[in-house]
Amino acid sequence: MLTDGTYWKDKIDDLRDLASCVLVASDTQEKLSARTAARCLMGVVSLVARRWTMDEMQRTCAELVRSEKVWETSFGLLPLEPNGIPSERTQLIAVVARSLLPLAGPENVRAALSFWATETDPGVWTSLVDPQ
Amino acid sequence: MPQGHELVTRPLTRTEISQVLRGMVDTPTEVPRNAVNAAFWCTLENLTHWCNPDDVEAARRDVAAQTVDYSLVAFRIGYA
Repeated sequence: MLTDGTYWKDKIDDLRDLASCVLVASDTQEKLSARTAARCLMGVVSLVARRWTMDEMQRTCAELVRSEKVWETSFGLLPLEPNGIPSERTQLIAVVARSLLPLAGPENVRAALSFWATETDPGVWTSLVDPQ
Repeated sequence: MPQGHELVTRPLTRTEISQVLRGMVDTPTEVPRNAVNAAFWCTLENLTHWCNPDDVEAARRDVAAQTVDYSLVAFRIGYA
């Protein structure tokens, strides 16, 4: 998370690089792809976007992607709010992302969260629902 | 680069759906159960839209039959 007061979306090249795996083709493997993981996350990110805002949903995904302790502990430790507990939106997304780890692997789950953290084009969201 | 990304978003199998649902039910207790419940239900609805609904329902019943967490009783009786 940016702490210098800069709007967090001004510096998201790292997230865009990770998210690119959702949008490019590659060999099919047995485990769930980054794209399928992103599709699995669609329900919960939609819930968070509706309950809070799209910006809050994307910032929460970005915080999860960038938090090393999240990946080192397989979501055992989550980013904390100033009150010392994870936000409800963080908990919601983390519950689903964690459940995908054994099937998709951490790299694909991280890529999927990066996709939701950065993608703002509804047409691209729809492409997950309607395969190209 | 992550492995296994393809443009086709293939539906999950019944076994995979069960694993996802079980993974959510088994979320560590540090996460409030209302958050688990909300995540569970919206994911279940999402999966029903693009996976085989019969597989989703079968997986839900499998997980419901195995859980002893009565704070998740809502999802056990939700479709009853």
